Amino acid sequence: MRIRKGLMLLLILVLAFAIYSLMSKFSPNLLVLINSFWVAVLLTAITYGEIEGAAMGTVAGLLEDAFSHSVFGLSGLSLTITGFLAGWLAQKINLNSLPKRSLILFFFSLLQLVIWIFLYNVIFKRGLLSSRPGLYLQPIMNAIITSLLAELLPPVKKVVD
Amino acid sequence: MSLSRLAKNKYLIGILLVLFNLILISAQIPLGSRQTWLEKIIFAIFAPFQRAAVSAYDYAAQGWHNLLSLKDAQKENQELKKQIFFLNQEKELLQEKLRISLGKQDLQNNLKGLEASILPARVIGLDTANYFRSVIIDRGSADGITRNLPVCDYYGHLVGKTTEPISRHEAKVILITSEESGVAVISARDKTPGILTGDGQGKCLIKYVIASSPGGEVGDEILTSGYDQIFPSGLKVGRIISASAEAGLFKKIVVDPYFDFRQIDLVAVLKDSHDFLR
Repeated sequence: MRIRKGLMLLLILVLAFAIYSLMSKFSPNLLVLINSFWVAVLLTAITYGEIEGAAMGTVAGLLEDAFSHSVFGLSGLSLTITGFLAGWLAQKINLNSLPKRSLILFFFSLLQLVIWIFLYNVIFKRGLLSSRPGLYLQPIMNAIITSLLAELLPPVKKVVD
Repeated sequence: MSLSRLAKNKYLIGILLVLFNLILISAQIPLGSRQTWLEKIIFAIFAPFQRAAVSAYDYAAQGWHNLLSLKDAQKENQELKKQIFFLNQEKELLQEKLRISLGKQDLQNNLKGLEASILPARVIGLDTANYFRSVIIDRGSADGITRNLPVCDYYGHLVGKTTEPISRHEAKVILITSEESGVAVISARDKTPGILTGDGQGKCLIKYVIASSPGGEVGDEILTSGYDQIFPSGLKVGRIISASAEAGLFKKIVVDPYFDFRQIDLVAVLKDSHDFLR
């Protein structure tokens, strides 16, 4: 059971990384609108719980940091916190309805963006929202994509199981 | 409390993961732009996956494109033949001009040297945090890539320089539009020197030009000066789009870089920039 879960999490991570690689081939603007690593963390958190969400947050965040010229650990920290909190809340409330799930995911995606931008501001002493206004749309896009993927995940899990 | 019970405490695990990331951040900040070992290891493990994903996409896209453009191939071939003819003429003329200043043997040796020093590379990834800061290329230490090698676009305009992490077949390039980049430049018109750095938003700034200096006017072309011993002199960088002498010691000069983000699929790494510096 643990091996299957591990494989599933690895598959989500590899897919997130492949999608990030391909998005940069299509258009740099897509990277501002959609963050595949964030989607992977939120999806893991609402599907498996807080520990898996936090662990995926650390791994995916560090992977994101390794491929950007930023401070190593910055995305790792923000995604770990968000992954844990999203997983914790998903265990407490029922997220089966699509609109409700989308709303909760939007909130966590927004929280992740706020934490990341706050840390970025503290370390680099400069903001990003004025230079890249597309970031405002990122929480909405991430929430919609994660919510839709959460609908598709149970059949995939069945195949893996 | 036993160790196994501690390991099952989800809050403890969450706090440990947060602490782990905080430790990584505090280890990274004093290092500046240098990378920690963990970052280098993650880069080395995952960069080949990125390369494979991009190559697979390119392969499929190229196949589809080839299929579609088969009917136009003959027409394109004729156009290209015409272009090669003119380029050969141009090359002969330029070589003739160079022969005046250099001996034939010297010229051939120089051209061979330059050709061997240019390494074409493909951009396989952009920076997720801010795509004006860095890109990933599909050349690494196995191809002779080291730190601080100049990188130009298809037209020879300066793009940036190589930086760590460098794996066997992939490397990171810090762009001239990054806030952490620094290039010694001069203006082509009046040779005003300065240090060019990025603003992290797609433009560059020239620093340390004294406010009372007459140099640095809107429209001036900016070239590398070679004073930093990293970038060879004479590489085209961009054009000044605004210059103002605000209150302070230095002017605020904004440069629009020549390289276009949407057209840096293929770049050239100047492997032995000393050949160009001579």
